[in-house]
Amino acid sequence: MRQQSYSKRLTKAFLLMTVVLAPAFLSAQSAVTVQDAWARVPAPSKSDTAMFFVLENHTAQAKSVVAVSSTAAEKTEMHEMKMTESKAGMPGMPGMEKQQMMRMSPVEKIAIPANGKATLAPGGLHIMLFGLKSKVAEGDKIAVTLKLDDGTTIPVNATFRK
Amino acid sequence: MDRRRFTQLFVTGACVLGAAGCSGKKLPILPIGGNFRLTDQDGKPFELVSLKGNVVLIFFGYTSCPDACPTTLSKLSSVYRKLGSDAKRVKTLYISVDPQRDTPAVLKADLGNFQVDSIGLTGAKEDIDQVVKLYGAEYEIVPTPESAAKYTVAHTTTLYGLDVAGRARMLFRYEATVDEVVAGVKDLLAAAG
Repeated sequence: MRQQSYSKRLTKAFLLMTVVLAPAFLSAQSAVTVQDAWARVPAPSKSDTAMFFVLENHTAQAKSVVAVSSTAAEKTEMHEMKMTESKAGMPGMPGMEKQQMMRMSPVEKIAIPANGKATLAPGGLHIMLFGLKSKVAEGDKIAVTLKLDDGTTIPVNATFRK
Repeated sequence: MDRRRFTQLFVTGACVLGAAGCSGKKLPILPIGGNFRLTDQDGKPFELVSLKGNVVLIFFGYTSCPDACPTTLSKLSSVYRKLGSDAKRVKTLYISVDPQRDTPAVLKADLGNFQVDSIGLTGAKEDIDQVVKLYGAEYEIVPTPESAAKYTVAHTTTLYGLDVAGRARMLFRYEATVDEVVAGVKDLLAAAG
């Protein structure tokens, strides 16, 4: 009887410890994680390329990426590709009054919703790497660092592919 | 309506909406396009009529474009693979709307990265503008002084399908799948007047 209550108390203490320590452990791990990071192998004549990945925010606070840097490129920026409508249509072409127009523009930040994801993928948000400092091939790796609005930094390791 | 049917409707939209003599699979002759002269990736003069006898796919882009243009070229390399022996009669024209950066040498190096039977075209801005107008395309140089890109080029992403006589017969949207483009090219190869 006495032994049983001792084991119960031990279980309680263990559960309590888990509840108290789990958030501390999680935050130590990382509030924002990175998955599926890859960069496109640029054409042999080019040293600029784009990088893609998925960011997951494990906290209840919305966060955003406010800067990106890499020692492997001259300059690193956040960009977004958007499909918009053309201004003019095609003369005499019913159904083609408006065409899809691809627009590329730098963005100041990338928002990651609370307990949500931000997806950087072809056709949308991406990291632009200008002036890669060395020639790269499929399978090579590149490291960039993301800075969040809460002051923390996140390392990203991407693999080059075509 | 599923996406495939929607794209087909779009592709044959001009037909559905009343081109004369339009019936069944007969493709309408679109009121855009025509012959033009530019400079090819070897710095030699190029004229569209020189490709008579081939189906020609045309799109506008620029090689500093890190996304839409490589995506279209990757898609076209799959189209060529799937076309098998028909691929011999299909040429792709990549017309640069950024002649300032896209010299013939730059185009050649860039296109060499893809398994597409393509010709990169550039030239004087006025000449490119004329072709853009001829095909009802559109582009805009957008200065981005805060970026290392200095400027980006917004451009229409339509892929034009020309028959073996060089007449525009078909338009593909950016999302058109490999199979949709393959089917379109086969129709173009079979299309008569």
